[in-house]
Amino acid sequence: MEPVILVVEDEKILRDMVVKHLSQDGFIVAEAADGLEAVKALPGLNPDLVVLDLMLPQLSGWEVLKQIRQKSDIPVIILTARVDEIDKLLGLELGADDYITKPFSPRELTARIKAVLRRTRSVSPIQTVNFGNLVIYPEKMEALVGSQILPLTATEFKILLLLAENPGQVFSRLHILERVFGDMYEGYERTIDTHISNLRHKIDAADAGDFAIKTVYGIGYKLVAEE
Amino acid sequence: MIKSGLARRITGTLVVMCILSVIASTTLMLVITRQQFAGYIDSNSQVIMQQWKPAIEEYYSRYGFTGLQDFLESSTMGRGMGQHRMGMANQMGMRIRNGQRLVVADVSGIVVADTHRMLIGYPADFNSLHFSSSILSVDENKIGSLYVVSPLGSGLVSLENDFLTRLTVNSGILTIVFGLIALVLGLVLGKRISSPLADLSAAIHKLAQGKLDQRLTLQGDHEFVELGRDFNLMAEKLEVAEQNRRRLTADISHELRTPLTLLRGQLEGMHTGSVPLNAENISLLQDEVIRLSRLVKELDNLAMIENQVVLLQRNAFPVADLLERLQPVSIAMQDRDIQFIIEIQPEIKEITADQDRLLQILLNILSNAMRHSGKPGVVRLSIQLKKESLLFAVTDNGAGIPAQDLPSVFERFYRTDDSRNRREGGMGLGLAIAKGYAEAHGGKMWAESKEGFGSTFYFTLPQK
Repeated sequence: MEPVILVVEDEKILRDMVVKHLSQDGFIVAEAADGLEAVKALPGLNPDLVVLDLMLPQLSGWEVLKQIRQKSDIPVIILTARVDEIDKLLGLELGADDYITKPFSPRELTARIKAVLRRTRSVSPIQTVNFGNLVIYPEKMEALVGSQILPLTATEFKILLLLAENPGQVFSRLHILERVFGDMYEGYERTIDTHISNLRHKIDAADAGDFAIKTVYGIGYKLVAEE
Repeated sequence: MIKSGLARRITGTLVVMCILSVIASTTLMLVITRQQFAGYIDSNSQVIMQQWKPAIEEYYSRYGFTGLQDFLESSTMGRGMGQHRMGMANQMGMRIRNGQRLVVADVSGIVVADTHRMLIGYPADFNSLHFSSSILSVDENKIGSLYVVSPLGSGLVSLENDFLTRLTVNSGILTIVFGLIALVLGLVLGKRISSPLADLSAAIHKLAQGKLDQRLTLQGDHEFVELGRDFNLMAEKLEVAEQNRRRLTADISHELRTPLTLLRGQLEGMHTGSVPLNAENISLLQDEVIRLSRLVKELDNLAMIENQVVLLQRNAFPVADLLERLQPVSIAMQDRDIQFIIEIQPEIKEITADQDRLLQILLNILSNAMRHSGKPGVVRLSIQLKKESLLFAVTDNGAGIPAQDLPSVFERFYRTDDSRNRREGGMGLGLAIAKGYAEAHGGKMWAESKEGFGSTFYFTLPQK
């Protein structure tokens, strides 16, 4: 069964954009335009996860979060426009499972949602990412080519997971850097080349791989099937 | 012109004080003078008494009270009869003063002689008149009383009263003169106080209206000079802050202009078909958006630092954790053939700090060092324990920073080389943020540089 996500966001353009992306990524999406609507929708909907904007009319995101936590431990990912609210969020320990600041990448939001769901849905079957004979167990931080475990560093694993989750898509170095290391490392795009090079050596060493990381000249890298 | 209340009050107070003090001292003088005079008159009366008592007693023993009036009048004023009797008094050189009065009463208190003649035949009653008295006796028998009446207080014009009146009048004139002097002084002093205040007030008004170039000329008493100096300092700081604000706004819009132009150009090109809608071009847009997002985040961080609302998540963590997160830096240094040396004092096992923020500080100054290192490049990171603080130092072997630029390197959007590419040189916010984060930890950040020999950026992190 597909996970149900409730998106609480008052700006329609943003809400539509998020809904479109999440639907595309295989989630069942419900929307709420303000805090009150969200609180009303919650009992009937019983979502698997709530994406909650903090600055909402009627009832603020803080209030909604408080009310959710009084009743249940549904995972909540906070959307916020203000960096200073993150500190508040962490300080108050209101029980948000993750947060993401605007401007954000919808793809990153999907990744966060998946990560939180993986963490919290202990009963759900172990999810794997597959591409050719590459199998990745995200929660175990393990990648296998056939039956052979790749001896990857954490960074290499994250890069491979990112590429494997979006096979065929080209990622620029800056994009990979941002997703793997966070947005602090601007200017270190070239270091991705080193990691990719190491990653390729390990995949080659594992033998019998039917996939490869391809350099797209002038852009970056993508995961492709080996002919 | 509206007169200031302060000046008027000062003038008023001064005038009142002057008048009061003149009146007080005059009154005091009058009282003392009166007392002195009363004492003098009393002793004078005593002398007269001593002179006249034996004379009258002798006269009585010879003639009784008969003719005493004549005797007194002729003796005191040198006229009347009884020349044979006068000689006695004159011999003794006796005189009484103008206005002084001798009165003799018999045992029953009835006046028998009076140099003023008024009380003859009446009881000796002097009301409020100032007088001295003495008992007259002959051969141990009381024969009557001798009174010496002083003119003081009697309203009679006498030398003494003359003196006191003159004193009073002069004091009055003095009071008026001093009052006038006080008035003039008060006005001058008031103006001296109120006019600098009025200048200050006018300057503040102009400052409030946004004319930040207002400065006061320093003059007058030292309190006003100090006040003026403080005002000028405040105005200067405001002006600098305002200039900074304006420059920041201009810098931000400048930073936005290039990526927006690029985005717009690419998008319009895709729209019209001149730019093919392929992965490469989309990636270009995406990277630009990532950079823009990063700029927004940096501005947010900067705003938090400047509003002093940075909440730190302080934890103790192993040094190795930090070094692991510096791995991209090591790789980047390798790629550029820069020797990256890390020296950590062996005693340091753990660091207490907000790890993300510390990492940000290090990334910012290491990136800087990497960009500015010489050829062949050497960048050195050292961490030392100094008392209860960790001292971090990042040294490069580059061209160094000119002394005149050194104080400015921590300013927002400051770049030593204007021509430097934005992609290469970052946005110029890195050092400002690094310094802000170090200070949020209670530490300090500073830079030392020698042109031609590279620069060192230091910062401290208190561990308690």
